[in-house]
Order: sequence, then structure tokens, then C-alpha cells
Amino acid sequence: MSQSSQLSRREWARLSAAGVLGGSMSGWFGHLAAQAADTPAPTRKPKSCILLWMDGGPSQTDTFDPKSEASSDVNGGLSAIDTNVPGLQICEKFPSLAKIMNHAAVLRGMSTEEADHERARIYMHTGYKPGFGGINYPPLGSIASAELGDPEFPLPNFVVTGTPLNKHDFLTSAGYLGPRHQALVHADPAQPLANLQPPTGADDFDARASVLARLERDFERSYKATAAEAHRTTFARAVQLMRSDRCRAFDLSQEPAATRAAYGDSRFGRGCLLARRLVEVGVRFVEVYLQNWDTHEKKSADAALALMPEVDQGTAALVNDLAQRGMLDDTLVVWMGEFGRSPRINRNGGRDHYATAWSSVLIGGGIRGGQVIGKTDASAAKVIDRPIVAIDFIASLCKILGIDYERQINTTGGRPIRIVNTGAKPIDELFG
Amino acid sequence: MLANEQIEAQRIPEWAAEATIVLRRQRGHWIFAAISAAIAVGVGVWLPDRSIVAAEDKKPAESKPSGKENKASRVRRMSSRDPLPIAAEIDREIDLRLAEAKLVASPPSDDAEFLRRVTIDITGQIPTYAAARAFLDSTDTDKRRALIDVLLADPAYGRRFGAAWKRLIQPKPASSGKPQIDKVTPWLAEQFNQNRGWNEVVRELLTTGADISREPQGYFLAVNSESLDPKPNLLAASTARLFLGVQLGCAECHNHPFAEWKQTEFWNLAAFFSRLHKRSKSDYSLTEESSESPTAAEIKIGDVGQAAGMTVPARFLDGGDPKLDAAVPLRNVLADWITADDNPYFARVAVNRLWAQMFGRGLVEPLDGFQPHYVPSHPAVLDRLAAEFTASGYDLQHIIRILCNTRAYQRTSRPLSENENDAVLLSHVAVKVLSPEVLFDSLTMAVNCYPVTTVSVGKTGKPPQREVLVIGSRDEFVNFFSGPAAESSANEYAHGIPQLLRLMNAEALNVGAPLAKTLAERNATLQENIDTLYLATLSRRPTDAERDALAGYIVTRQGTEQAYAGALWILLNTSEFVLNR
Repeated sequence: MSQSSQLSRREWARLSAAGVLGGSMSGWFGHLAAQAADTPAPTRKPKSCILLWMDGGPSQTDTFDPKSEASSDVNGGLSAIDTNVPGLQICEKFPSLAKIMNHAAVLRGMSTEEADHERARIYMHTGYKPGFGGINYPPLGSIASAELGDPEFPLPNFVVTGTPLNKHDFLTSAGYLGPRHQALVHADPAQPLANLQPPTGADDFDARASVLARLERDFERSYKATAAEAHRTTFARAVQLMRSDRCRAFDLSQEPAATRAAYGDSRFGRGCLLARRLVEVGVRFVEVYLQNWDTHEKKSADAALALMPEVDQGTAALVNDLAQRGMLDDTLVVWMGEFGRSPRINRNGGRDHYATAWSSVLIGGGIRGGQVIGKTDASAAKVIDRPIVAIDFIASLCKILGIDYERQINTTGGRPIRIVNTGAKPIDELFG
Repeated sequence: MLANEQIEAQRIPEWAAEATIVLRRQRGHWIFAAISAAIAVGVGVWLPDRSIVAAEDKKPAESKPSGKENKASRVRRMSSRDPLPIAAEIDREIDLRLAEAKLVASPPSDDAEFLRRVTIDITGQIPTYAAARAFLDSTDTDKRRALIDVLLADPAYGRRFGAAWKRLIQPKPASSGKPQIDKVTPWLAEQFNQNRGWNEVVRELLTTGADISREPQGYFLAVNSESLDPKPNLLAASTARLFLGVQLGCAECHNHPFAEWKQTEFWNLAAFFSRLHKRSKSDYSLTEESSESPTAAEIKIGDVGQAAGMTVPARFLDGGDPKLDAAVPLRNVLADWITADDNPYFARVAVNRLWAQMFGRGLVEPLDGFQPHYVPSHPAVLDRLAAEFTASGYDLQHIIRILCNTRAYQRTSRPLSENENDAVLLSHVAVKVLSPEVLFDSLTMAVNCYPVTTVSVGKTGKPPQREVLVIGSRDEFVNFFSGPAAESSANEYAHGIPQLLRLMNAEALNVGAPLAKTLAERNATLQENIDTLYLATLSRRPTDAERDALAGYIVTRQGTEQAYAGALWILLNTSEFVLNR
């Protein structure tokens, strides 16, 4: 991979006109060259996104698509409560969220085919099925970092926090976007960022770093290895982070006690607070991870039920905090998992994976709130109105954030990949 | 015993003798050193290829073991087959393909490049200061071939491959909780260091009757159990992935989404483990005796998928039906098929893994991508190596020796502008990334380097006591630095900002390195000290420009211990240190 991993569209046009690029480019290239002429200039203030990732797949029936009229083998005995949106009811376990649903759009028609954790996580983060075309696709956070992030920004533009990642490591790679857009994983929001201070002082550090830079230049000239470039890039980002005072955003103790209390004394709550602080200093995408919603049997179902108060408190506190600071219109909050759960409770007292009909929630970001999009049948087994497929969902998120979801990015080897696969149609109802 | 009587005394090349002597004193492996010094000649011990194998070959139906079923010779097995002609054949094939693609190959690596690369690839650690100096200064024209042999005789070789295989068998990181004594890595290391036939090792992993809760050879079975109760589906998936190079996992519940495996085929394989169970509630050794279904070699598929509820027979992956015998356990039948000389997967998968280990990329990618139709990058090479592997009695070290002796492996990793974009045809060697284990061990070695070539030994015959800096807990470090799944590409740099912050600012990597203290205190020139720093970390001498750059830094800090610690820091943070070029 060369020094600049992406050429702008204008450069592609210029080089092709000069006959530098190979013949294999013919098909898509004409389209790209034509587009190069009218590169849109972003004028709005860039938006940010906070993705609240409910890992394992939370049940739609037990959260945002309650079926209180149905039998208890469908609703598990849970009932529904009114919200501040007339006609919209959500699970009784979300009383705080019920008061902010006027900012929210509940997407009850999610229907996305992939019911395997690993595959669905990748599918719902990237809009592409894993392994499709042999490419490693970047998660949405990395895309946001690449498309919305200021390249000079000293913090990474994509931060992941919450329960530690083990099998979810695909988030730590930015795929074809490279290490510049890799997530900074900071598992425990209560801890400050470790190792920010050089033990022998800033001056000595700078002196050493400058000698190091000289040595690195020679190595780079000789070896041109992707891994070396990755190391240097990440090293530079780390140094930039060290030198920036914006990494105080990671220090939750700077927040008044009342605010910290409002978000709740839970890792998830603290993650939400961290997300707000990071977005406030300019980070474009923060993902707050919460395990574990994979409730195949009663024991885990009970554990997930026990998570709901902290989700309710943390999410509502986040939305209220953003609104109070005038940030809500520019910050999209997404609440979702990788799929939903089966309509009926199984014989082990839980629910199994279910991608045929499930719910996600979008809050803020300038969308038209206070609405439900899509509808399921009496047991949330089928979408009977307005189904939403994965690429439409991702395209919608992109459109809300101001990312051109049809844009093609040139990956290594010159193969162009659209940010979202062809045929995607954003959900009109979200936009005023 | 066999080995010692048959050792032919020959002149050991000086540098090899020095290196092994230093290795001995640093590692204290006295007995091993005596043998490795002899073997370092490159002549080796002339044993018939299958001597050890034959003795254990015809194992009867399982009997309860004493826990010492692996009582082979303590001396490692060495092949009598000549690796060089095979290496030459492989090179010819690679060169042919390069010519077809009109690609020019990069020139050979220089000694420093080769030294560090092969030492890391075989032993999982950077060369010692003494080994580096000795190799670089040697004028022996055969020194590269001899170095390969010395490294294969180093116990670190076994530890490196043992650790790698432990992680392959159990990819999940060690969970927090009570630290347990690891008996598995040492046992695996021993199999590699003794160079036991890979067919024998795999057979033991699959068919051992040992107590899987305690005995290291039961690890594979224990990992693929639930509460130490062997699970046919887990065993089938893992067996297929590791030894047959096939990713069957998805086919457990439905017909595989993009390969051609049907759900029934997955369970055909799982059926071979259907009779396996622990002997009793308190006895975790596994057996097939008095199983619930003593006569049937079949398994009932669970509730999920199109084939739910069906009962399917045990059948090999290529569709063949096994010949069953009441006296032979089912899993032994499977193990025999897997390790049979004509099994189309076993040898190819194994040599492909070794190839990936050395070259950073398998001939078949991914390593478990031997789906029914696969296309190796160099089919003739894969076939030749597989045949040689089989003919040598599944001798892993023999294959590694072949690979490391190829011109392809010994090429530089510096691309030419003409071959810059080649990642498959081996026009230049791929730059790999040091794995977390190797990184930890190499950092530890570098900061603690005691830069001498001969150690003055006191009357006790032991080296003088020295302070050792521990840079952290190895397990915690490895976990912290472990990126995505165990089998992610060796070429992918996966460290993020938190990892680099730690390398840059951790106390232990900034202050207190014994090497810095030694350099500050000893009576040597600035130039000698900088050369030592380079040899201890990058296993080479610096260029003049590099020497000047470091000299400037050290001199403005009056050559104190902290000045040298800073210079050491600089080298440890270079791309060159964390990469394997």
C-alpha cells in the first residue's frame, strides 16, 4: 500500500487521463471519472454518532416492540407502558426512555437474514456479509472516521468502550481503510487512558522521538511494508494523543458528581457519559458495548432483564444531556443489537436468535422523531408492514450522518468498494 | 541409548560452538547443549526414518494408560534425507512462476536480515547478542545452513511451536481466574523438540485414553468437551479445522453457506466421536468401552437444521465408508484415516501451516481453506512438500529445514519497484509482525542483554548473578497485545493506540534496563556501545548515519545510564524491532 492509501477522485481522473492506470479499470472508472467533476463540498457541521451496541441480540418483544395483548409464552409476562408519544408503547422496564421517545424513531421492521452472531455482527456494522468478495470491510465507526473525521484531529475518530471485546475483535480492524481509522478500544470507561505520560519527561520524549523519526525514514524507504506503515501511523497517532489536552475527555472524574449519578453507577452508564464527553470534544463515532443479550435460556434471560434498568437510565441520561447541551440534533444515538429474538419463549425459558423481525431505535441526529417505522404481527414473528433490510438501514445511518453512502472507496489493488452495497434506499420517513 | 553411540565427532564450526556454549550458559540446559553441540555439525544422528514411529505404530485397541505412554527416546529424531535437493526443486518451481509472471525477484538477504528472520521464525525470539556477533563475523560459507540446524536443536523451537499449537487448539484467551500450571505447552514443546512424527502426535491427541482433566496429551479432547464430557460436534469441527484444513463449523446447523459441506457430512465426521465418554463420574480418562451404543457407528443429529433428527453413519470426509472392527475404537479408525499416507489433506495441511509460519502466507489461504476445491498458489510445491513430509515419516524439522534453505526464503524482503505489488509469488519475502509472545520475549531479552561473547565462569561453573528486569506479566502482556483471532495473518499489524502507548511509556521500558547500566558503566567507546545496542536489539551493526544519530542523543546526555536507556528506547520503538523483515 502506498503512502497515500486513497487518491481523491480528481487524482484518479487525472492519472487515468494520463494513461497511467491499467485497463482493468474501464468499467467502473468512467463512472468515477464523471463523478470527479462534481465533488460535493460538505457545508454542514459534521455530525457524530453514538452506537449503543446490545451484544448478543436483545429481544424486540421485551424492549421496543412489546406485545402485551399476546399470551405469556410470547411476552414472557412483561407488559407495556405508554410513552410521551401518543400511541407508542414500549416495555415496562424502560420508564425513563418512555419520556424521551419524542426524539426517537423506532424501527420495528428490521429484517436481516443473518442469525449467526459473528456473521450478523459484521453484517450490521458494515452492511456487508463477512467474506463477501474476500474483503475485510470497515465497521461504520471506521467509515465515519474516514468520511467525517478531521485528519488533523488528535484523538482517534472512532472509540469503542464497554465490556471487553473477545470475539468481537473485528471492530479493532478498520479493514481496507487502514490503521488510521482503527478504533481506539478503551474497555473500562472508569479508568483513565493508561500510559499517557512519558516517565522521563516530555522534553526527553520529544528528543527521542525525533531521533526515532530519522531512523524510521530509512527503513520506510527500503522496506515499503504495509505493516511498517501501520506501525508508524499508529505510533504517530499515539504521540498525538499524548500531546493533546483533549484526552482529558477520557477522565470521567472531571464531570460533576450529579451528572455522573444521572448516568448511573454501571459500566454502561459510564460508557454513555464517556461517549458524550468524547463527542463533545469532536470524536465522530463512539460505540458503547453492552453484553450479554444472548438469552437462550432462563438464566441468561433473567440476567438480561437485570441489565434493563441501567440501559434505561444510561440511555435516557445521555439523550437528556445531549439535548440540554444543544448537541442532540448533531448527534445520532443508535440502539441496537445484531438481531432480535424468537417470538415465542423456548422450552428452556429463553429465546433464540431471530433475524426475521426485530427492532432498532434511532434517536436525535436531526431525524424526525416520535414515530414508529415498520410493524410486526401479533407475536413479532413477521414484519407485516415496511420491512427494513440491512443495507437500507446502514444507508439511512450514513445519510443522517452526512456520509455519501454511494461513494466508492479505492481499496488496495485498486478495486473500488461502495460504502454501502448497491440497491440501498435510505428510509425516507426518517427525514423531515 | 541409540544417539550417543552413533554420534560422529566432527569439527564444529567455531561460531556454532560459541553460540551453543553461550546458549547453554544463558539457559542452563546442560544436557541439551551437549547434544546440540554435536548435532550443530550438521551431520546429525543417523537414525532410520521410522525407528521411533515403528515402535508405537501398531497400537492395540486402547488400554488404560499409565500416563507415560509417550516414553520415546529423549533424543530428538533426525532425518537422514537431504533437504537441499528438495529446496532446489522448490526454488525452480517458484522461479518458473516468477518468469511466467514476468516478475524479477529481489536479491538475497544480507546476513543480518537472514539471521534475525530465521531465528525468530524458528525459535520465537530475537538472536542473542553473542549469537548475532558470532554469525555476522563468521566467514564460514556454510554458515546459514549450519545456523538453521542449530536453531532447530534449540529448545526454544519446541516452545515456540508448542505455544502456537496450544493457541490453535484453544483459541480463546486465558480467562481471568486462578492461574493454572501449564502442563500443555511443555508437553507439546517436548513433542516438537524430540521431533516426534506429526502423525504420531496427532494420533495421540485424538486417541489418548489419558485422564483429560490432568494429562497434557488430553488437551485437545478436554478443550472440545463440555465439563470434560467430549462433544462430538466440537471434536469434529476442531479436528477438521486443525488437521484436515477444513472449516466445517457452520455446517453443524445447516448446509454450509459458501463451501460445499452439507449438514449430514458434518455429522458423518462427528459420528466417529459418538461413542466417546469418560469412564465414570470421577474418572476423566476417555474410552469407548461400554458406550451406550456399542455396535452402531452413527450419531443422531440435534434439533437444528434441515437434517434435524436424522441418524447418520460415521463416514470420512471424502465420502468413504470406514471398515469397522469391534476391537478398534471408532476414533482410532478416524485417526488412522487422517494420518494415513494417502490421506489427501493431512500432509498438505501440515506443510501448508509450516509454509505460512516461514513465509507469512500459506500456499493455500486461509489455512483452513482446503474446501473441496482449493487453488494453492504453487500446486506443484505443495504436492512435492506433502510427499516429502509423508516419506520422511512426517518429520516437521525436516520440512522446516527444506523451507529455510530455499533461495526464496533467503531472499531479501526489500521489494524492487518492479515487484512491489507481488504478495503471492515470493519475489521478495513478506515482512511479518512479531506476535505478542515473541514481542514480550524479545523485549525481555533486549533490555536484559549482557553483552559478552564468552562468560567468565567462576569455580561453580555458573555465570555470575545478575539483576534481571521483568517487564511485566507475560500472560497479561500477551493478552493485552493479542489482536484478532489466533490465525489472523502474520503480516497484519494489529496494535492500536493503547498498545503503543504502553510500549512507549511503560516504566519498565523506559527506566532500569540492565543493558543501559552495563553500557554506562563499562569501559568502552561510544561507538562500541552503540554497536552493542544495535546488536542486542536489531541483531546488526548500525550504519554510519545511524551511529551518528544515536551518538548525538547520547552525548548531549553525558552518556549516563539514562542516556543509554533512551537510546535503547529508540531502537525498541523502531518498526524494525517490532517487525520480522
